[in-house]
This record gives sequence, structure tokens and C-alpha cells, in this order.
Amino acid sequence: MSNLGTTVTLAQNEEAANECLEAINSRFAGSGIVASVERHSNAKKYAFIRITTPPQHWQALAKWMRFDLEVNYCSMVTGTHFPEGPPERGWEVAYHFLRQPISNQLPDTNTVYVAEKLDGYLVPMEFEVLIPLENNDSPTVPTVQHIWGGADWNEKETWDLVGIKFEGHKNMHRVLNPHDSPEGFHPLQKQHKIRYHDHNEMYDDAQGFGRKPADEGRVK
Amino acid sequence: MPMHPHAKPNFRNLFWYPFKITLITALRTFPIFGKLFGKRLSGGYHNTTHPEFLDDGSASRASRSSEFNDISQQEFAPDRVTSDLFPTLWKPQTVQYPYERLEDMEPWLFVPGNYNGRIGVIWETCTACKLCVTACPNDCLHMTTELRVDVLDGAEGEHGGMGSELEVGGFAAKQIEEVAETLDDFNHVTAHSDTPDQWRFAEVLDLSGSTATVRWNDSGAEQEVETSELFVADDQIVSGRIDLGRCMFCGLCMEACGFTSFFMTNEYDGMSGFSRQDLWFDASRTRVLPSVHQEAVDSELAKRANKERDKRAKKAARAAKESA
Amino acid sequence: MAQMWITMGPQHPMTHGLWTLRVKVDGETVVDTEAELGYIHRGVEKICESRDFTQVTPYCDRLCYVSAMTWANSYIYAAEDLLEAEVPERAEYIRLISAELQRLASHLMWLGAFGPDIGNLTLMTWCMRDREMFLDLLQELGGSRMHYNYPRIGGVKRDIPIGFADRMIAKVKLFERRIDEYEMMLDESTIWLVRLQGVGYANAEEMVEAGVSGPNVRAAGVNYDVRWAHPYSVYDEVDWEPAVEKPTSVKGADCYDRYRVRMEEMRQSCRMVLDAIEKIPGGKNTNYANGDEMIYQKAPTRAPEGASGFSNYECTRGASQFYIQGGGDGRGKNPYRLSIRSPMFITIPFVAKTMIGYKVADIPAIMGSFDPCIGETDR
Repeated sequence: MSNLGTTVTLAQNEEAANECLEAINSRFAGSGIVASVERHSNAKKYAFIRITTPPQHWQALAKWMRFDLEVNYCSMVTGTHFPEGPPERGWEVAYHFLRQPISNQLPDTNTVYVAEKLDGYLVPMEFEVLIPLENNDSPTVPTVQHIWGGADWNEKETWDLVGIKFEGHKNMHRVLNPHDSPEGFHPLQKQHKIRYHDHNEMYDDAQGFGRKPADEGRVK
Repeated sequence: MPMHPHAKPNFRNLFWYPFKITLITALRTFPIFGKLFGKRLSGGYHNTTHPEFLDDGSASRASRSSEFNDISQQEFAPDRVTSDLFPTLWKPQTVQYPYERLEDMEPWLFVPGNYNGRIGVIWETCTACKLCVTACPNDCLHMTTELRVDVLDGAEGEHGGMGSELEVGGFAAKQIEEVAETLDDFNHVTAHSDTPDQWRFAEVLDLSGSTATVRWNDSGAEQEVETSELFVADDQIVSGRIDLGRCMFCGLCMEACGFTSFFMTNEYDGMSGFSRQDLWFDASRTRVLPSVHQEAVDSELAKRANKERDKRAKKAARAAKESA
Repeated sequence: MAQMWITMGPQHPMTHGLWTLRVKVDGETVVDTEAELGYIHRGVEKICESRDFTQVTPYCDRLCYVSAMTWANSYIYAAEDLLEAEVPERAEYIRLISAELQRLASHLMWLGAFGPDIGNLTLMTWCMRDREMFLDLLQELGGSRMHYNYPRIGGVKRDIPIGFADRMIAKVKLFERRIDEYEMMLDESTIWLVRLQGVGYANAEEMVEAGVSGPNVRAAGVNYDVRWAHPYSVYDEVDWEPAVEKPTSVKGADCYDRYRVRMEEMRQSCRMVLDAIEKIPGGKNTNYANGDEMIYQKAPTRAPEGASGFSNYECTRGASQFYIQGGGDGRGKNPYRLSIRSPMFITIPFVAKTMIGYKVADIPAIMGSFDPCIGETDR
């Protein structure tokens, strides 16, 4: 590649990951927040940070990540329902972040990185924060809407589809489902099955007009 | 509206560019000027030597090429904006469908194995393993059985006689003569129905010497027919249907079959209908091109005939040994 | 003057998709906006919980149908992370070529829809004509013009056809001259400048904090591209530069900058494709059979419970992400949870905020310049 931006190298990525890990551990060790450096199995096998935190510490961790670790981009918020999971992990909220090296963009300039020269907290890094919640009917997580703008609509979508409540989230509303969906209807919970589309029981016509008598009772 | 400060009227935008473009376009319509100055005037993309576009596969696949559409003579323009008559004149080349078809003009776009077209199944070689049915994400495929003449039973020539025999309680079939002639003209690609039935099926009631008493399926009438005119038919031959209303032409079924019986043809026509039931294509509407079909069927026929021949030889050998 | 809410309803030719933009206007000035999404919510995430990993790929093509190849690739990288699959190098080159061709087609579609929004109807026909070239290339490669189902976990479905390289080089070289023509028509056109410059300022830091990425942020002067920051495929071996525009104002990038960024990205995509086809291992005129080890390596088909994988990918409109958790039905053959992050889902509410303070006539310019695609927004 030419002089405008070469790619982040594996060495830089590992060094940055270890630096982040040290910072997290020195700040949050022993509080129930567990951090580790994981490696992707795809592409260039780069490292990322995975943090598991109990919900009560989430906002403190989020504030620290945003302002001290300079993680400035909230990429995805999603939730999973584990109805048959262990009692302490019936639901799990997963936040994904990226650290993007931008600051103080002046007019009539552009920020040109020679990626190999980035170091410290300027190296781009991926973060995954997992928040396991108890296996009950009302999973709740404190919101981080005020910390990252990107978390706003993602949290709306997670509540809409999965049913995890975000405490303190202003202006929560249905975003993908119709606005008049029934209260408590969250389609991605495991008890909802797709009518006529689950792979083992599809019908060609719902009322059965086109079915031949010989196909009675057959599902595929 | 007020003039934008970056776009004050200037000679270049208001006179020079329009003049240059008009002049070049006018000059290029004359073949001599176009050829002489084409490279310099057009900025280098028309009238330049283009690489050889016809790989062997494309050349052989161009089936119906008329004088005007003979693609080996056509000068390829990457954006199709030239003509044979005036190569220097920019003419948008609209494909005059249905009189011209793009697969005749640019056959590399419609290579049968690569193009996600309509499903074609060679039912004679299907082993009913149902891998295609499980591979479909939308559950479009349904496997059934149907009454048909097995490829082995209807064979003639070196592999003839290896099929099963007529038996009482089984089925038989007689060819319908009038249909065989029309089949040559039938274009199954664009027709919106399947080929007319070639066979008339009947149930065998009694066998005696060279005649058989059959009850025809269509009329219910009983008749005595010469055994030589009858072919053996079987009602457990694998068949199926595909719901094209659901199909998303992803090709996963083709991959699951391992390419032996299940193909995606390069056809994109003839799949419309007036109701959802019309879009259920059963076995006869999932025909593959006869040229592709015949080779596969012949090889499968040979395989089955040889297996049957070996089995009979072994049986005969064992009987000979026992009697000896 | 009285203030009034106007609904640019879900069916509207200028919204580039099915979403409702409700604007509150005071005369001609936009005072407040509200975006409503969800009209094309098809439940892809739920459907994929009952599909094999291979069967999910055609669904991902249909997320953003204008840019199908990039979304299929995005899913495939996440699935390869989950299933721990290896990919041969030739397949990575082919994926790069297919993704960049798709990026060209998608940007042309954007330009072809954006031009008429501003009033330049010529652009629509020019862009469609040029887009045909790339759709034909993708048809040769993938089998159809829009939904290809082309990449596989562990490689690609089939190799590049013979003659594809020559055709592609001719078309891309022609297209590079065509970009010159577009710029000749647009860059200094009075109407274009008046309608796009000074309109729709979006500040870089606000954008990043709001979760916007991709060409929209690069228009504000920030050089961040997932292709170099979190590298995948062979982008580090191919000659290219990220397309970044200098914003002219402290207020941020305006619509004209976003337009310039995408023109520059098209040039860079052309450059990448021409370079990749020369460097591809195995040669550009060889065609390996389907399933050959040069283009495909058989991958595990089951993922145990507890395993997860995610990928960041530079889709045409921003950074897309798939997060897949294993252990679903069929003893791990299906994903337990497939979560899709669409860049446009975050950008559209941001766009709605950007419009405040401008005139009603600026709404299509601002909306179009962010390049919305609702298929990926609603999933």
C-alpha cells in the first residue's frame, strides 16, 4: 500500500490488547468484572478484549471505558434468551464496541493515519462486553444511552425484539415491531415459534386448499 | 438563484466542453475519422482493440446466431454501446427481447452450471436420497412417486431387455404415436406447460402368450394388446415437485446433489402462472436440456444394465452349479 | 407561522426505502424530525435460528439487496470465526474482487438515485448504464444480478470463469474514464454545488459517538476504514488508499463532501480490483473446479454451545457486524442466536437529527447523501 494508511499489524494489535487488559485489571480487579484477550479464528486472527460484568457494575465500567480507555464507538447491543440455561445466566446482553482513533477534527484537514505509527490508545481495538442476567421473567440492565449515542437505538431494538429492559433509558419505544404490538411480546424469545416457517413443519398453503389427499398428515 | 462562488460562468464550462464534445461526436460518426482519430478523440475506450472475449465455451454455447447476432463478428463493447453497422457511432444496444435473447448474444453470462436459473432434474438418475429436500432453506421441494416407464425398462439396443418383465397386477404403457412428432417443435424453455403425454398407462390384468389383457387408466376399458407394443411401467418411480413461488434460486439444492441429477439450468423463462398452484412445477416441467439429459441418462442406463446383467449372469452360474 | 408535522410516509419515492420521516416544519424550515423504521422487518434473525449455517447465506444477501455480496461476505467471516474455518488465499482474493465490484455497483445505484433527488435526471440513466457492466460481471461470477449466494464458509462457491478477468479489466478501465465524465458534469455544476454545499453538516466526533461509520464519517476527514483498522481478507496486499475528504467547515462534512467521498471510493475500488486480479494466486485465467482446495476448504458444520463469533466488515454503507452464538437446533447445526448490526440502523436516526435547521427542500439532499438502504436497517 502507499503512504496513506497501511493496515494495523498483528504486533500492534496484540500490544494494544495487552495494554487494555492491564488497564482493566488494574482498575477493576476483584470486583466481579472479568476481562480476557481473545483471538478471532477468522481472517487475520486478530485479538479483541472480552469483558464479562455483572449488571450492577456496568455503568461504572462503561463510563471508565468511554472516557479513560477512549472507546468511542458503540457498535451493537444485543440480547439472548437462554430459557434452559443456568439460573445465573438466563439472559445475556452483549455489547460490542470499537475504539476509533479520532479527536478534534479541524476544518480543511483530514486525519491521515500511517497505521504502523499508531500506538497506545490510538490503535483500533474491538471490545465485547457480556452481561449475564438471572433466569427470571424481567431481565434488567442499566442503560448506557447517555454515554454512547450509538447505544440508543440499539437498546431500543434489543428491548423490542428480546425483551430486556434498560433501566434509565429515555424514550423507549418499539422500533422494528409495529408500535401497537402487544405488551410483553418480544419475538426473539425462545418460546415463540415461527408459524408455518419452522423448518420441519411448513405447509404450502395455510388453509390446505391445494393439498392432495395422499399428502394427509405429511409434513415434508 | 445567486451564482455559487465556486461556479462562476467561465469559458471552459459554457463553451469549450460543449463544443469539444459535439465536435468529437460528429467526427466519430464518419468511419474514416473515427478509425483514424478514434483513439485520441474518444479518450481511449471505443475503437480500441479489445481482448478476445470468446473463450471456447462461449463460442460453442452460442446456439442460435443469425447474421446480425453472430457474436464472433461482433465487436465487443464493455457497455454494449456500439453497433455492427456503425462501430464509431454510439448506439445503445437494447436487446430486442423476445426476438433476440441475451443468452445468444452474451453466452458467458448464462453458463448453465453457473447461472442461477430454473431447476432441472434428471429423474431417471435420481436416487431419492432427499439431500436436496433437506438443503433447501425455504422448503420448496417435495418428493413423491409417480407412474412412469423406467429408463431401463424402455431401453432398446445393447442395454435392452435388462429391465423387468410384464407381470399381472403390474402396470404397462403404450406409446402415443401422434405426440412423438410434435416433441421436436416443442420448446419447453418458453412453453408454460409441460410436454404432452407420450405414454398411455394401463394395468395388466392377464398375460397369455403374446397378448396381454389390460385395463386402460384413462378410460377404464379393458383391451387385449400385443405384448410387443407394451413397455413395462412402474408406479414407484421417484418424482417430485418444486414450489417456484417459494424458491429463491440460491442453488443449495444443486450443490447438495453433487451435480449428478439436480441442476440449475440457464433458463429464466416459462415460469410464470396465474395462480400459486401454477407455480408448482412437477417432474415433467423440470426437464433439463436434452443434450445434457441424454448423456447422463445413457451413462446411468449403462450402469444399471450392467448391474442387472451381472446379477443375471451370477444367478445363471449358481443355477448351473446346482444342477450340475 | 404555525408549526406542522408532515409525514414523508413509508411510500415515498425519495426516501430510498420504506421508512417514515416525520418532519415538523415552521414555514419552510425543519424544526424537528422523527424517524420510524420497521416497515420491512422480515425477522431474518429469528428465521436464521432454524437454518443451517450454509442455508443462512442466501438470507444475508437479501439484507441490503443493493449491496448483497458485501453482506454475504460479512456473515461468512462471522461464521468462520464461530466454526473456526480456514480459507485458501485464492478464495480471499476472489472475495475481495466480488466485494469491490459490488461496492462499485452499490455506489452507482446510490448516485443514480441521488442525482434525480437533486434534479439531475441524466445521472439516473448514466449510472444505470454503467451499473449494468458490474451487474453483468457479478452475474458471471455469482449466477444472478442481485442475490448470488456466492461465498461459502471456507471459501467461495466457484472459481472465476475463464475470460472473466479480461472482461472485467476492460469494463473497469472504461468505468474509470466514466468517473471522469461524471465529475466533469457534476463537480462544478452550479445547481449541484448550491444544493449540496453548506447543507447537512455532520460533525466527525458526533458521528462516531452516534455510531455512524463508513463513507459518511470519512467525508468528515476521519480516516477510519475497517479494511485497515481490523483487517480481513487480503486488503493489506492490494494497492489502495482509503478515500477521505477534507471537510471545509468546522461544522463538519456537508452533502458535497459525502458525494466526493463516494466518487473517490469508486476510483479506489477500481484500483483495488485491477490490482487484485493481477496478484491472484493461481492466475487470472485458470478456472478451478467447484470445491477444489484452491478455492474452498471444507469447514466444520456444527458449533458447540457456548461458542460465539463476530466479525467487523466494511460494508458499502458503514461497518457491519454479525454476532453469532452457536449451539442451536440440530446439535449445533443451526445458530442459537444470529445478531446483525446494520450501519444504517444507527445512521438513519442520526440523519433525521441532521436535517433540523435546514429547509424542506434540503431533506432529499441530506437523506440521499447518507445513502440509506432500508433492507439492512430493518432486517
